Order: sequence, then structure tokens, then C-alpha cells
Amino acid sequence: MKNNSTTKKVIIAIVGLAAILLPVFSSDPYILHIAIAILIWSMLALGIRIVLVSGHLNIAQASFMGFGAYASGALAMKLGWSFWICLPLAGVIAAILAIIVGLPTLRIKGAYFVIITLGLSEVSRRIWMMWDSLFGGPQGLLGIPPPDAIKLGGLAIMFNSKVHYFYLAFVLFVITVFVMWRFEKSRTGLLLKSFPKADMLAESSGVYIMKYKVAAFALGAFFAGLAGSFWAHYFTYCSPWDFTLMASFYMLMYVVMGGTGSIAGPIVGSAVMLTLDELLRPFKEYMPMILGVILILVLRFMPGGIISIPGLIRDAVMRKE
Amino acid sequence: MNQKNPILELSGVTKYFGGLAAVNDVSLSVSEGEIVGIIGPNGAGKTTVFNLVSSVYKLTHGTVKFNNEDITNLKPHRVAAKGLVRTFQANVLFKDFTVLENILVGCQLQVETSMFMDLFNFRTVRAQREKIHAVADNIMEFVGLKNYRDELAQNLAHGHQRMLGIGIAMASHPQLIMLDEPVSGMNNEEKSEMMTLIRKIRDRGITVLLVEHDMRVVMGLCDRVAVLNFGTKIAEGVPEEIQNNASVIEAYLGADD
Amino acid sequence: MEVFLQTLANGVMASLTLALIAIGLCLIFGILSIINFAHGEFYMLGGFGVWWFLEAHPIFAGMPALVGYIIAILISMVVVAVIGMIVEKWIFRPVREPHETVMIVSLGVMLFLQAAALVAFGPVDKSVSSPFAGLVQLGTVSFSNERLAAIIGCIIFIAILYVIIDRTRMGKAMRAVAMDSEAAEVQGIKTGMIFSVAMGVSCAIAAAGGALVGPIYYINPYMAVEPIMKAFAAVILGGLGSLPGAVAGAFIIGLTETFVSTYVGAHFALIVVFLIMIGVLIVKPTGLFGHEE
Repeated sequence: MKNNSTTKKVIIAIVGLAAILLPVFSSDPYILHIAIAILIWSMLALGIRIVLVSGHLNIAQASFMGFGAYASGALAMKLGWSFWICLPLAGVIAAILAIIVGLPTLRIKGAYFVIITLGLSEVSRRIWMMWDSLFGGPQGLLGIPPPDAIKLGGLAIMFNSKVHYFYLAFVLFVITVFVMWRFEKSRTGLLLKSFPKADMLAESSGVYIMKYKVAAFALGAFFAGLAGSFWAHYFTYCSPWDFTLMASFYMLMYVVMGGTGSIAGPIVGSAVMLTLDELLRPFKEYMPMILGVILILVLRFMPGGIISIPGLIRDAVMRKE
Repeated sequence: MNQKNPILELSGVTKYFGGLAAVNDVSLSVSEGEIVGIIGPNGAGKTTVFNLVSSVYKLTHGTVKFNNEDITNLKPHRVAAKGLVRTFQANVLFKDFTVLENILVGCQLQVETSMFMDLFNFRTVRAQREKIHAVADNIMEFVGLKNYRDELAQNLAHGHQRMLGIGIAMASHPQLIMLDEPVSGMNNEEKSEMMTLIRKIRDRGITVLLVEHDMRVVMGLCDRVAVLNFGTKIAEGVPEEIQNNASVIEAYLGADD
Repeated sequence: MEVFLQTLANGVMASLTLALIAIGLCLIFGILSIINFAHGEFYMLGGFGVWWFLEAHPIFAGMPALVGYIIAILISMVVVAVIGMIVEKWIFRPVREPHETVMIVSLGVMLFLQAAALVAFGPVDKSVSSPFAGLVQLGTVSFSNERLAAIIGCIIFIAILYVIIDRTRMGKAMRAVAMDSEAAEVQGIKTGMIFSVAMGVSCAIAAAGGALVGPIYYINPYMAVEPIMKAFAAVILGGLGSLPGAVAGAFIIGLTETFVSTYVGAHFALIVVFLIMIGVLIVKPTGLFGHEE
């Protein structure tokens, strides 16, 4: 037991250090861009997972990302607000939206919530398309300003190279992982996991289930909002076509691929799948088909995801001995 | 013992399911420190009464008072917070949680820190943790599951699973506990263990209301017994009275054919 | 007034097609306890079915147009039913628990079928020439024969389904499984067979929907994306698991959508549908026809 957790710590330390030093080894913008995508998509996937832990499937995570992106972009462009104010506000706006959507739907078992999130993903796209004056209609918001420079004494971070964006994404990612880890390790995590098993029992022990479910959903949306804000200012534009149902499906696939059992799962899933996505770029139009088959096969034959592979191998070896 | 204050009062409790009365105009008063049993043939509405008191179902008519306070149709978690908890009939447990984790879910009413504070490792949060674990240890000792602390609930023997169900309910430090068929599916040895445990619960000053089929257990344990048939209360009294009550005997004989 | 009547007629047709999808969703939910996201794709495949038999490979060209059309619809329904039963038996059934897993699997099936249709048939809209030419003139309102045929076709299929579920032994067994599958099994009902039949029937009527409106709208791999969302809304509105509820919900959604599209704007339609859905969930979480527990 103890040994296991030391191994874990060592792995986290090595991976973390490698990540921090990545820009030192490679300043190739292409590599850095993929690394940034992995960090940001991990944040989104972690948000889906924490809701999944409580027995609910959110297939509108891209919409929450979109609301964060649009809120942040619109505030920065129309009101000239600094990115550093828009960023947390984007998270808060996405979280408030999640609370509004979650309150009537998380009360009832699974089916309703997933259908409402399905509807949300389509409705949100239409809102952005329709509302020309604020969201720029079908072509979206163009010319979102990059983050303002940070001046720390003599050191100035200008956000004029991918390296700076990489470190910003890394900081956001670390905050997400930390909060998710503490959230799950605390009693809240235990309660969330108890709901899919016997919610009546938890409720008649005095647990107000809605509070925890809505909190988990809002937390996931908050980080999706942050991710969206980052994405909008990083690309300096965003459009309704960036935050579609298909994008949510991809995030969900990262979660399922990596494994839903732990925080490491969605991160590993994002890293592996995004890398694979780049390698398989020539077969782009077959991706949804491959994606569908992968979802079906993984859930059937490897419900623990990629993260369970070492354990499966260990079991297989042990059985032989 | 009957002279004590009433802790739970049901008056005119009625529940219709699509035009059919599952429970009809049931009134019942439970005094502090009593063990009261509800018996009746299958489908008499015993468990429905529990579901109504614990607000799993909404009442069609009637009121439920706990400690002189109206708790009719309060949300289930609010009912529990008032000090009224229940167990469930089958082995409703968090099956892939350990015994300790099951009890910890039951301890949530003792938690004082907020969800947000729990994100950080403050001293108050750590103190909280220790306090809750102490409560859980105490409960596991009480229901005799101390040695199974890290065992998964689904791996426990049937009798132990029922004990764990009671442990979860006890962990919220209730004033009144409602036990839904506590000895169903148990062998004689387990039954007498359960009876001892229920007496121990009462000795802690906790009032017990139970639904049970096993007459030997009900008659041996309860101070008072209420009999339901077709959703209506047909008799109430001390066990000896009930055993000799003509309409009760008829209800059971009628149901036996 | 003319616009109103025209919209009403279009709304009725949209509602009926929606009902064909919603009934299937509802059956699958009631009997198999699955939220089937892939259900719309069977509607889409039904559309491609008639296109395949009437346009791509006109093997019934020698027959009278109407006979060929009806045969094409029936064959499409059978083929889609078989695909549906295969999906249920080999993909859904092995992962029935927990619910989230099955939902994600059905998402996988949805993506696969969409992409497969894209690869097989291409992204270009397909059209099917209807055997029903001409217009019916009702006072000042004119209504095309093909739309009238689609409405009558939908009503026929809903009626047939009603008879199957309400009057036959198979229907009785299906209702028993929906109520309590374990109890039904104890009574000697082969639940596995019932699952297959329910899935087959649901997919067949969804395909019928696609085949009937195929000649009216265009056929493409993504033609089900919107209808499935509206069908879900209909099923929620009616109360998950209630068939009359699904039909009523389909009418509420179909008519609202058509009228809002005509009088306010197409973008608003889906937003209004979504708001109605949320509103119903707040006021009556179990839907219009659903009941407690």
C-alpha cells in the first residue's frame, strides 16, 4: 500500500518535471501546441469525470467551454477588460450556467440530465449564431486580444510565444488537478461515489444529495469555462463551430479511454488520444467512425481504460507464476 | 413507560397510489424510549408507513409530528437531520464501499466544515476528520463490525450486512430509528444477536419503531404493537393483547389461505 | 389564415414523424432501460433505404410507382430492424449495467452509423422522387399529395404498433417486461427475445419515419441530428416510458417547432423546445403522463 503511493508520487514528480522542462527541450511551436491542447483538454475531461463519478453523464462540456470562451472574448473586446479579470469570470459564468441547468435536472435519475445536456449543446450553438451583436454570429468573435503582459520586477511575460501560453496552460492545469484531487479525497468525493449505488440510503442519512451533485457539476463547468477563456485568447478568435456536440463527445472519449476510476485517467486519455489524433491526421474523415468503435470496444473489454493496462498485465503475470 | 412524552405522532396518515389507498387514516403515537412494532400480513402497508414518515413518498392526507414539530412531507434529508432515521428492507448498502466508508456516509450529519473548506487541509478540517473517524469507530464497535472495518460491504455475511445497515443509521446519532424487517432472512442465532442489538439501541435512549414479520421477535422485543391490514390500523396494544385479539387472528388466518 | 393552415398541416406531419421516433425511444427505454442515442440513425438509414431501392438501384422500376415505393419502405424497415437487433444483442446487451455505460456505448453506435453512412453514401443531399405527384386543394390552402401520403403512412404505422402492443400476446409480454423484467422472466417470458423484438420494432418504425419523409426532405447522414433531439424532448415531456405520453409530447414539440419557425424564426424553434422541456421538468419532473416512482 505504502509502496504503491510512493511509486505514484515518483511518477507524478517525473511527469510533472518533464512537463515543466518541455519548452527547454523543444521550442517547436507544433509540439508546444499539442502539449497545450493536452493540458486544456485534460481540464475539460476532468470536469466530465467528476460528474460521471456521481452517476451523471454531461455531454455539453464543450458548451460550457464555449460560454467561457465567448464571455471572456466579449468582455475583453466590447468592454476592454483585462484577460486576468475575464479568465476567472468566464469560469464563474460557466459554473452559474451549470447550476441553473443542474438544479431542475440532477434531481431525477440519469436520463433527464443527459438529454438536457444534449439539448444545451445544440441550443448554445444557436444562441451564439443568432446573437450577432454580442457573439459575432456564424463567423464568431475575431480579434480577441491576447492576455496582457505580466510584469514581475524586471521580468515581463508578454504572451508573444507559445512557451508563455504553455506555462499559463500548465498553471491552469495544475490548479484543476489540485482542486479535483482535494475535492475527491475529501468527504465530498465519498458522497459523490455513494449516490449511484444507493442514493436513498445517503439521503435518509441526512445527506442533501442535490448540493453535492450540483457542486460537482458546477466545478466541472468552472474549469471548462477557464479552459474556454484560455482557448479564446490563445487563438484570438472563437466561433460556434469550435464548441459542438462532437467536441463534447471527444472529451468524453478521452475520459472513457483513459479510465474513469481515477484523476490520472482523463489526463492519460487526453494525452494518448490527442497524440494519436495528430498521427492519424491523414485519415481525418474516418475519425468519428474510429471514435465510435473505440468507445464501444473499450467499454466492453477494458472498462478501466488505458490506466488499467499495467494492472491487467500484472494480474496476467501473477496468474502465470 | 407509556407515560413519557410522545416523540413521534402520526395522525390520519393516508396514501393513495392511483386511486387505491395503500395506507388509510393510520394514527399512531410512539413515546420516548419505547420499542414499538408494526405488524400485518403482506401488502398491509407497513413499509409504506415507513416511506411516508421518512418522506420517501408524499402523504395524501394526514400529518406526521416529531418532537411536537410538524415534519409532514419534509425532504428526506431534513427528516434525518431532525433525528429520525430509517433502515431499508433489503440489503440496501453502498456495496463496493468498505464497512468504514459506509459508516462514514452515515456520519455526515455530524460534519460541520463546508464543502469548500474541505478542499484545503486546514487544522479544523483535520480535527473534523479525526472526530468523524472516532464516531465511526464507536459505531462499528457498537454493531459488532470492528473487525470488518476494511471489508467491502458486499463480502459481508447477510447478518452482518443488516448490522451494517443499522450502523449507518446509528451513525447520524438519531433520537428515533425505524427498522424495516431487521431480522428477515436471518437464522435463529443471528436473530437473537439482532434482538440484543435492538435492546442495546433502546438502552442508549433511542426510540425504536420496527416493521417485522417474525412474531417471536416482535412479541419478545416490543413494548407495544400496532397491527395493519389493508392499509388500516385494526389493533394496537401490548403484545399479550394483540396475541388474543380476535380481529388480528382473523386478519392473519384470512391472509394465510 | 392560409399561412396558419399551411403551418398547421406541416406541423401535423412533423409531429407524426417525430412520434414514430419518440415511440421507439420510449419502447426501448421502457423495455430495455436504455437511453438510445443511436435511435435517430435508424431513421436516417430508413431514408437511405428508400433512396437506395428507388434511386441508386431502381430494381422495382418495372412495377407501378406506388407498389415499388411501398415495397422499398417495407424492405428498408426489415433491413433496419435487423441492424437494430444486431446492435442490441451484440453491442448493448453485454454492457447493460450501469446506465451511463450503455448511454456512452449508444453514443459510440451513433457516431459509427453516422460516419459509416457518410463513407458509404457521401455527404451530398439525396432526393427521392415521390410516386405522389400533385396537390390537394382545400379551399385556398393547397397541400401536396406526398405530404398527405406521409401523414397517412405515419398514422397507419402508429395504429399497427398500437394494435401489436395492446392486443397481441407479444405486446402483453412486452408490457410485462417493461413493468418488471425479473418477474416476467419468472413467469416464463423469454426476456432476451422480447428485447430483440422491442428493438426490432422500434428501429423498424423509426426507419418508416425516415422512409416516409425521405421524398419530402433531403436525405443525408446527419438528417437525424435534429429529429432525435426533438424526439428526446417529446419523450421527456410525455414522461419517460409512457407511449401515449410520447405521442402527445411529439405533437406538442412538433407543432411548437413548426409554428415558432414560421412566425418567429428557425433558430428560435429549438431554443423554445428546449425551454419547454426545462419548464416541464421544473413543474412536473415525471413528465405529463409519467407517475410517481
